[in-house]
Amino acid sequence: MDSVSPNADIERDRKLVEQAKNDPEAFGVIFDLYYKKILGYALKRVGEAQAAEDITAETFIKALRGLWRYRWQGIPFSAWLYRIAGNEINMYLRKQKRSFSSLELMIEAGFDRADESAAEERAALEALLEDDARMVRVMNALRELPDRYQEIIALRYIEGKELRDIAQIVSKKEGTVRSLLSRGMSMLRDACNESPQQTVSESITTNEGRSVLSVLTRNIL
Amino acid sequence: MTNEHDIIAKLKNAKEAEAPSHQAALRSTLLSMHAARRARFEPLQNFLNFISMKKYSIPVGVFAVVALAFVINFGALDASKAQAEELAHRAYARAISISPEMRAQFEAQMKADMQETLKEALAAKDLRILTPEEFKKESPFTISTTSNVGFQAVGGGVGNAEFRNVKVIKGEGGSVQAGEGGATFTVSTGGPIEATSGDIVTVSASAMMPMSGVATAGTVAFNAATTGPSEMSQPVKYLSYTDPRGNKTVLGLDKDDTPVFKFSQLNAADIVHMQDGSIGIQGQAVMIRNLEEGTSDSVK
Repeated sequence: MDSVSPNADIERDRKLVEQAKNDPEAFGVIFDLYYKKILGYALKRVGEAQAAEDITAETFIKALRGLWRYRWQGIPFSAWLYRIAGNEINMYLRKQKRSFSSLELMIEAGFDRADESAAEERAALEALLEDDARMVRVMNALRELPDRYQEIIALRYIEGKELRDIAQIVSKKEGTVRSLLSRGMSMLRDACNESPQQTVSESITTNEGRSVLSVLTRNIL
Repeated sequence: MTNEHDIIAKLKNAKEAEAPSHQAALRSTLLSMHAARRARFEPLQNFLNFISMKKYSIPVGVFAVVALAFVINFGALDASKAQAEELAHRAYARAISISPEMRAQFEAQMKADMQETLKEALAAKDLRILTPEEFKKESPFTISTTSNVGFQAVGGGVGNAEFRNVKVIKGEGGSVQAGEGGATFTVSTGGPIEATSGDIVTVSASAMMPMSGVATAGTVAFNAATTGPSEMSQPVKYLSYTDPRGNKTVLGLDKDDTPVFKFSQLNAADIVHMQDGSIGIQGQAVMIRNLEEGTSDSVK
């Protein structure tokens, strides 16, 4: 979630994108602003550190390659980045182990990273996911949903995006997003309940005995 | 047990993912790619900015027509080059993904470092894809031998292969490739050679690895000890470019985009006419002999 006012972020991004067309460092600033967000989003969606890193790299390479074609049309640059990332994630989930076409460009351009650092960082990233076993179960159930529901639920509750922002990211009307979110949460609850392991009722039931998913569903509207 | 607000908070405020070394390496790579792209297009952009200045508004109309023609043409060339670059990128990815043993085998075959070769190709301004037909038709490295000259591979457990009407192709770094109709026969030598019609390629038995060739009347029998037709990857795609030394080069890729041979145009200055009538290549233990009656100076 953004700490600064959304409009200020949007205006900052707009200026940075224009600068970035001529100034690599400006693109570096954009990269620094969104790297962790995109990495975290990918990590939680796919549940694998290496895949999340590859998706993040692919997203920024595609953003760079599309930078000169990008025209400001009132849609935040961050929405565009999330849209690229979402497409990459969906493609990855549909076709596990897919190769990322831009990765060879990275290698050609001198991408270099020590193996030890890579192993340590991936272990740390995956530890993030395992921090809370109950959340792991919910996330696993989430990954079983069709892509469009996963994406909207993740954007809404993991990334903390407003419905309006999600609508821009997924190129759908706000009302459609609301419906998909409601339907997705219902499916998520069903998926969790069908799980052979205890999960939903234990993992997402609160001290007061109320289902978190019910709370989440109510919060959609 | 965590209450509902905690869980919602976890969903919304999960710990930030961090991978500092990945971030640093990716950042550096992206900035390099940005700079490379900018360098490529900046001259055109500057020119467009220059002519669009107010005081040049009068000739802008004329310029626009010229520029449009240029851009259309440039776009077509760019697309063609982009395809060639994409193929070279795939080959690069293939080169670094195969096992070290496989790479060593292919590099021995093409007598060149795959990655260095592909870097040269990617840096070349005239990089383009040659179709197999274009390769046969246009390659300056293809010269027909006399008709019905047979090359027969013997020994080495690779089976015999006989090719008629063989074309002999020369390659920098030591590949001699003969093929016709898609068949390919490759002989590794110590350096680039060039043969003309009527020549038979023979290799100094003591100097050549991994094959040696012994000329017999009208037929060269190669002892295919380590490589042979059945073990060679067949080139099905070709990249043409001019290397940094100014030599026109063709890189052959197999169906998996693995570089399998590299041929560079022979520099005539490197050809040495030996006293015994044979012809050698400067700095290379390779000789070309004309086994037919007559002179041996038919090397181009």
